[in-house]
Amino acid sequence: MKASVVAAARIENATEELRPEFRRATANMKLCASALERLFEQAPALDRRSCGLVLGTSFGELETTSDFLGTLAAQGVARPLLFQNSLHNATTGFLSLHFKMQGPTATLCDRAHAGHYALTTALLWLEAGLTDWVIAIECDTPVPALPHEPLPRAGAAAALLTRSDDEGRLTVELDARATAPPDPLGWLASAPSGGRLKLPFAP
Amino acid sequence: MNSVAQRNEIVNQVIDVIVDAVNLRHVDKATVTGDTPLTHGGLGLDSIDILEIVVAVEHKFGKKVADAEVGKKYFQTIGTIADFVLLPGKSE
Amino acid sequence: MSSVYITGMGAVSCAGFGAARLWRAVLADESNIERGLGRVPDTAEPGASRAAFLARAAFEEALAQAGWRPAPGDGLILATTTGQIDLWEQPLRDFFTKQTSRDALERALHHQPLGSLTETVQRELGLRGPAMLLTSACSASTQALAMAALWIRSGAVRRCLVGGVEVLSGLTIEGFKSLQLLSEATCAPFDSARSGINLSEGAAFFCVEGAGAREPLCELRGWGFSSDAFHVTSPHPEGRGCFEAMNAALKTAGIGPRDVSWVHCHGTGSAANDLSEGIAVYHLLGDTPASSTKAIHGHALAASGALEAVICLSALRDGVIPPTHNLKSPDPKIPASLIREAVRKPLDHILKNTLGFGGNNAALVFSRAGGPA
Repeated sequence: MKASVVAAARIENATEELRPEFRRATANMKLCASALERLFEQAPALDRRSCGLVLGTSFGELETTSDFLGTLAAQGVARPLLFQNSLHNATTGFLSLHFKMQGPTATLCDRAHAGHYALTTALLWLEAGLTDWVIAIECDTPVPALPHEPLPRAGAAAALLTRSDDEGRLTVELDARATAPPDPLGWLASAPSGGRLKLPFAP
Repeated sequence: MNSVAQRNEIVNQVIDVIVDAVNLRHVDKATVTGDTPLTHGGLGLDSIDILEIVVAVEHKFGKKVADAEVGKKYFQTIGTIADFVLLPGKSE
Repeated sequence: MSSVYITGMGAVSCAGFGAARLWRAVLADESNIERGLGRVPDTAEPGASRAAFLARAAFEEALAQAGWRPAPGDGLILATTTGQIDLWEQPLRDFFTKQTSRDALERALHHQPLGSLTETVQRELGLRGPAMLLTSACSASTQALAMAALWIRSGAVRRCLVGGVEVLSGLTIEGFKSLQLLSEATCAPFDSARSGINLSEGAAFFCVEGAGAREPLCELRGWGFSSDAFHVTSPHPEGRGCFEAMNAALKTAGIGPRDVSWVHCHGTGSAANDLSEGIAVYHLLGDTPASSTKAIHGHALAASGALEAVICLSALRDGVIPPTHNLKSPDPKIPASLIREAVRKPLDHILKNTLGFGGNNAALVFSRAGGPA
């Protein structure tokens, strides 16, 4: 299975800009929205409505979960906005709503290889004809207040893929013999035009 | 404090609670009054925002919304929330 | 395209341990909801992961039925919303009230990434092949079965173990309560007087394999995913996204609406879900029989699609369409053809539908293996 990468982007920090449409957004949501905006700038003709979206994350909405449980424990108050945002797929829910994307959407979690599986899932969706265009994105946000293991990578990295061979500036291909880079979506975001990424199905 | 002044004071406190609870920092507080609706034609909030505001108002003023009917009746405008806060008793 | 089959299944639910217990409860109209919640009767060892305990009970049953000895290259796809939350939720709450140390919390939070559940199951079964965990809310295990089919068709794996796991937690109970979505009474899907959902816990696992499968329980024949892009927690009022997912599932299965013998609905008992889904089901499938079994086993969130797939496969085997339990006065605004008494007839294709927060929709088609095209 081979696909073209039409656009790719990496975002290190979420926007601090005061945008009304982001008033309920978590850090992960803002990071991903910024990454998707970069992709859409690179692919202005894309029909977002039918575009698929696969998010990979290690810790998901840990910060929001912690805020919800912290407020509940300390004040006895269960805050509905925090709960709806604490579900790890709230990020893709926000993105599909914000960008009016109605294609297939999935959120997957893996301690260290979430980006890899997001990318291979996107490739399979193209191969199976679930969608003609799909965005694979990985995202995580550190929570300094909590004592937890180091994050595999903080920030968001995303790539827009399609089946067609000649549209993209990069290609990505499944190859059982290849050794994948530890951060394949980050690799795509920084690769020069003409770059080819080969990766095995599992990391 | 007379009752009008007291209500105005509560209206201002309710505005602060709402701005904080559903993150309306982009809204100019001077444009929000007791008559401002929470939803259409006002702050443009949705049902989840209203639930969040109910929780925040309950916590701030130590007063419980007894059921959904009471919530619907009083969580319409900033002023009707102030009316709820000013009702006697701990639960309505 | 090569066919994909399910050869083993296992379940643990508030009805008890075993797929047969769940099916028996459905047929006997035996609700296992108490005070609005569906708890699995037995408990894990103190200190052990309850999520892993439920998963183990379900995958051991599935593996035994399929006659599988797990091989290192077998695939694994799990679905959950909160994973092993039972190991870290209380320490996190205690941390905020200064009742636990930073070190103790650090040890507990090691289990917070949902991927830790994948690692636990991989370790127990000695699996070293591809392993993925989906957390697309209440559509997660439906998606997991579909992804297993794609893995097998692409040749990435020959066989794949798929499961949904969910434990009851303070996070989900208090969270759903804060959204005013919980019913303290047994839920009444599609009823005029429905007042909310019953959260529950459980796990269901499946052995999924490609050509050469022996004695399959069914062919996993169709799948469809979509997004509402409408609201964070409420479905589209006319079921736009839900319609798209079910329609896509029929298309991949290569069947038409009239071929569907029964739709097993998500039917949670929430006002918005049932209306939206009921409209979408009617628009796509007209008077095809439809029902929800949530009043028996509750809503196990990410595990619900898997638990209800066990019911679908049991129905396919026995030729019985179970009714919507606790449906006394159908909502006249819901046009779907809701079944209120069990119907005995041979079933060819069953459509399983799920909706999730975030507007995540997913649907599957289970077909009688070797049945009509």
